[in-house]
Amino acid sequence: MSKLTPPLPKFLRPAPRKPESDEAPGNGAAPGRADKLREEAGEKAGEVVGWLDERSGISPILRANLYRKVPKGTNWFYTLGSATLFAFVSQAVTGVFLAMYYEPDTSRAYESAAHITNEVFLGELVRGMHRWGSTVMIILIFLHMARTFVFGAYKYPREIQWLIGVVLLVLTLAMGLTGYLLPFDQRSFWATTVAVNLNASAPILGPYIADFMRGGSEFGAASLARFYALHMLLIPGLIAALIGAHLYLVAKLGTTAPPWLKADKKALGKESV
Amino acid sequence: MQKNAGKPFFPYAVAKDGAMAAITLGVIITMAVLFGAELGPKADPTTTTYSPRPE
Repeated sequence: MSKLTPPLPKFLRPAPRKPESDEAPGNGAAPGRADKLREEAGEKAGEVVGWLDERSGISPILRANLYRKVPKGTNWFYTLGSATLFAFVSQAVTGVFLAMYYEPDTSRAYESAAHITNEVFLGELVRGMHRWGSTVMIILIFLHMARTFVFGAYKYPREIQWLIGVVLLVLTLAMGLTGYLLPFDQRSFWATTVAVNLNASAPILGPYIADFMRGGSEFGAASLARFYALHMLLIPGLIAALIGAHLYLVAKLGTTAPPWLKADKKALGKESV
Repeated sequence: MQKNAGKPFFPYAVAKDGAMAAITLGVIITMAVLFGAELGPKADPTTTTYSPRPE
């Protein structure tokens, strides 16, 4: 049963014809015309959906995903993952607007950040949203991770989801680190210097990692360009791709039932027969 | 098995997720309006007295 694609939602199914007697006589032509228009609109919507579906085959996929059953007893803790995704989308949108004004050049970075903050329409709000959105996103990731751990949702068959999630956590922290330098004020410059020096103190690979982060042995123009490219292109691309894989697995394996829910013995018996 | 006893993802889980997204956006905007995004003096690699401390 559960393998079957759910049926089309009601509004896309052709409506049965109304009996003629429904149209009360003496009511004028208006209701008849409205009904006819509604019917035509329905047919047109159906045609558009049909056109798309014939070429993409998307309808059964959408139906299977939208109308898939979520286990009983799922609660608000289950929204933390999608809230993290939403925070990422918010970061992407505000980030695009910031990129319209930001200049990743050591002589212009601070000035462009000040320009965004002080002169651009709603610039301070968008910068503030990006700055606080990063904090909110990292908090949400940890809460989502805690829920997954406490509810045992990382167990078979969802281990890959957990692994991808850990990589996403590391990448998000890397976003926080690379983004911190970009306003290029005293705090961001010196805090990033401290972070790079911390990496430099790692055994064996440390100095090489630090050189890679700085783009040389000294902190300079190359460092800023490097952090900007990582923050704008590489890491967000990786995050988006891995979120896609994470969500694919959610859709494929379904939502985990909460641990306090007992397995339905009858249903279990039926499925194993 | 548990799945068959549950509710469909749309609209029940979607509604919860949507409400949570609205709360998230609300928190982000509130923080942005209340605290803004500070911008200190311009970075100067030649300073020797600045002591970077976590907020």
